[in-house]
Amino acid sequence: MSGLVVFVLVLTAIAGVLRIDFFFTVVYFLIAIYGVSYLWKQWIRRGVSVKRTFVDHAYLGDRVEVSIEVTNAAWLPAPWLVLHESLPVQLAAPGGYRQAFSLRARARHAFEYSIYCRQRGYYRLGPLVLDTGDLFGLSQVGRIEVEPEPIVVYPKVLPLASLGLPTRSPQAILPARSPLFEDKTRLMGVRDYQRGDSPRRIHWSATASVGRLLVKRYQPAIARETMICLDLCRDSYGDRQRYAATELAIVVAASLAHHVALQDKLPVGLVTEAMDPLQARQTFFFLPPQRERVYLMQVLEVLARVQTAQDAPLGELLRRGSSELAWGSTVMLITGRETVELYENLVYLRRMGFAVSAILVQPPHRSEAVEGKAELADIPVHHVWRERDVELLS
Amino acid sequence: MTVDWKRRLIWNLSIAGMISCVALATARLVQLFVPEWSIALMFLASLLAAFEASYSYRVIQERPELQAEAWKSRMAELLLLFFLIKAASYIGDSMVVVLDDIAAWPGDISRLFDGETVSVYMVALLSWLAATRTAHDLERLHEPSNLHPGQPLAAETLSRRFFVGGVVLFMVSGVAHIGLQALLDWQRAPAGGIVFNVLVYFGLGAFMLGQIRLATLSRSWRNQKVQIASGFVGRWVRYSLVLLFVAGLVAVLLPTRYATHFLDAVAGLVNIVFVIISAVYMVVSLLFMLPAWLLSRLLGRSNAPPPMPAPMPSPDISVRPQPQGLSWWESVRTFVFWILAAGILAYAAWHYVRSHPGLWRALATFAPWQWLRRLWQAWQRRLDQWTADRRRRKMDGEVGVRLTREVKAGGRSWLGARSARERVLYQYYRVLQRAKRRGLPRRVSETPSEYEHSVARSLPETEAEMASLTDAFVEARFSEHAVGSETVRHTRDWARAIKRALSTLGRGTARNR
Repeated sequence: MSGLVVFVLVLTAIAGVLRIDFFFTVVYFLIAIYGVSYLWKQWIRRGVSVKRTFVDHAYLGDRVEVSIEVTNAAWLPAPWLVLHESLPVQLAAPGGYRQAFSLRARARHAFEYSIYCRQRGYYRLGPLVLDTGDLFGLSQVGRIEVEPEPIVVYPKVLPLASLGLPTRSPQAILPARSPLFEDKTRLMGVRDYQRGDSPRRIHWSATASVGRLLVKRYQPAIARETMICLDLCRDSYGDRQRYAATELAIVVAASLAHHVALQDKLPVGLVTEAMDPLQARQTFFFLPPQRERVYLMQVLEVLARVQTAQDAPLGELLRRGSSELAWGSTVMLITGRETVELYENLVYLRRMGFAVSAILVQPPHRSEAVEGKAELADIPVHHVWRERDVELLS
Repeated sequence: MTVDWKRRLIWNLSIAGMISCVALATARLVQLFVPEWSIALMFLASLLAAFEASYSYRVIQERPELQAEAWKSRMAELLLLFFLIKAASYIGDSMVVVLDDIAAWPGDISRLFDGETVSVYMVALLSWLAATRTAHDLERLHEPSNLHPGQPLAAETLSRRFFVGGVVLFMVSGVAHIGLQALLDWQRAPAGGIVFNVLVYFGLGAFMLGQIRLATLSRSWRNQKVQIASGFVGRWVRYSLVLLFVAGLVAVLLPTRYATHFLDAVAGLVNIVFVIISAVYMVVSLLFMLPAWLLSRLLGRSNAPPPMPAPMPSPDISVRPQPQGLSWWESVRTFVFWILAAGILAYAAWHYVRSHPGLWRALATFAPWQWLRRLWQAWQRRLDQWTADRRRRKMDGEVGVRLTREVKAGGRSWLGARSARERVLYQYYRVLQRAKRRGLPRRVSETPSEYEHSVARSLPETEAEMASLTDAFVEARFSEHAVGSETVRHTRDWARAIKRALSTLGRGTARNR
């Protein structure tokens, strides 16, 4: 409130000239209002804390309950608090969650709201801002801020009745839960431990000498690993429906990974180059094939947050993705454009000993330039343009 | 937004009350000049006018059909107000007098517009206008701020009006309280007593400031689609009242005489400045008059001494007599006052320096400040050292006394619960006790090292153990770092070996050997 200081000074001067004791008491009263209000606000600012609780991973279509607990540890009540939670528009109505309330001394108040996970992605809930102040507007509004917290919405996973993965493994038809894919008598080398690796694979002596966890790599007898190569280069998808096409490509990748890992119980990995909102830059993701469910969640988490990248050549993606794959692995490429170069890359992979398959996220028509290329190379190619097409992948 | 009628009624009453407080002060001031005029009439007329103005403004705002010709109804209100005041001025008169007076109106218009009626009406009219403007601004509080571009914010206007009203009230009621003659007496003692209309004005005004703040925030929240919790407004009112009560309590607790004395001191300083100016004036006057006198002497016009400049009035810097002795209540108030004053000053200085980093940097390079800072740091270091020494001495003393007591009691059960340092000390004291019983007491003047040699002379086979035990004791006794459990274990072994050797000596015979 502007002018209070001048007002008090003028009143003091008048009181001094008139020499009336009671007028000084009135001046003290005004000063005390200011002082008490200021101190009250400071105490509240120090005493109030906010905590946000929610499940930070959700599937598409889930409703996530977010709980915000405001605690006033001060011995004075908080006269007014305004809570403002910024929420991503993809998950909640624009504007976020806002509430004005007061809080008694040594009390806590919980607020709950829900967000609807309408779209896959990596989002941030917040920042949460809690404004407080005095009752007379004498001092500036105090602010308590809580940092934003991430929430990951996994992409949609569609059921695949039968995937029809191409494989060269003679054991592919065996119903064994843990088929032998690696010859454990032939050690090929070591690599860094990754989450999901079995402790039995840890090379303890090498770990001890290097000082970090290393796991053994065996020569493959035959591999049934599946590597999903997701092409998220912006130029690989048509201009008109780029967003829908890339989202569908991600859904296809998630559905494939889910199916291979949980239905077929086979190792599945992911390689893609995309914009990562978490790191705020273009990132190359390489998740080598693993079988564990927790690993599948990692794949889904990456698929949840990736976005199209400006410059991510397909050839480079396939080269880097297949560099550490065992012989006989299956490479499933998901892309949005069918080109001669694409088939050349796939044929090259096939010659290197990988089983190769391609899923094209585009309407089912072919240009003359690539007509017959797939048949010539004997590479299974699937077209997906609607979600129900995913179910027909076989 | 529609504000509930209770809240509006309270607002209207508060505004009417505040305005009538100013009117009451005016009436008291007027009475100093015209004692026969009624204070009550002026007060009640302004109270009624202010309340009616707020209420009718609201009614007109709520009924659009009245807004087109609102000025007519407002004019009618003012006319009615005048005749009500005129009618009220007849209270106490007999009906005959009233009728005679009314009958005389056409012939003598001054009977209708007599001085008292016109004065009361003017005060009531001003109250009416102020209440209308305030009601208008209170309504604006609920409207979006961009609805009236170019106009100051309603909250600002209202608070400014409160300030202006407060200043006017202070001046008018102050003069009315002390009287006109006392106003010119600068030597009078401070006037006591409570000025009730001032109390009511500032109490209601502070309450209304809280309400204005609430309305401003509510409007802002509505624009931002913030949900307001139920019971929020009620709690706001309660908290406001509590805060005002606390502030009032603080104000009552604080003594006012310091403020009076402070202002007296300021007046004294002004007087001193006045003296200096007078002296300069005298010197300058002399410098001008001396040549003029000399010139007149030379011309032979006058033999009179040079005229001295007129003396300036002597400044009054005398201290007014103070009441002797302080009652306990005055002492408490004085204590509270100085605590608060010191706190406010310290906080203001700290806050000012913090908000001006440049000033802080400049202060840091200022030589006297650096000297003071170094002095403070040195003093702090010495204090810390003294505290640490004292704490260590106390701890050592406590440990020593406790250990000696424990050793004398022969208790060992507490060992597990003590620190490693204390366990090492315990083993050493235990050996001392055993050695004393065997005739090898440690003299008061003996250092641990000297005692080690004297024991080694008596028991050469334990020389190594005694040396190690002494070293461990010295380390535990005088070091600051942590003592390891390994040391404790070794100490126990050494102590056991020494005690075993001591047991071979005859009781109380070693020193005599």
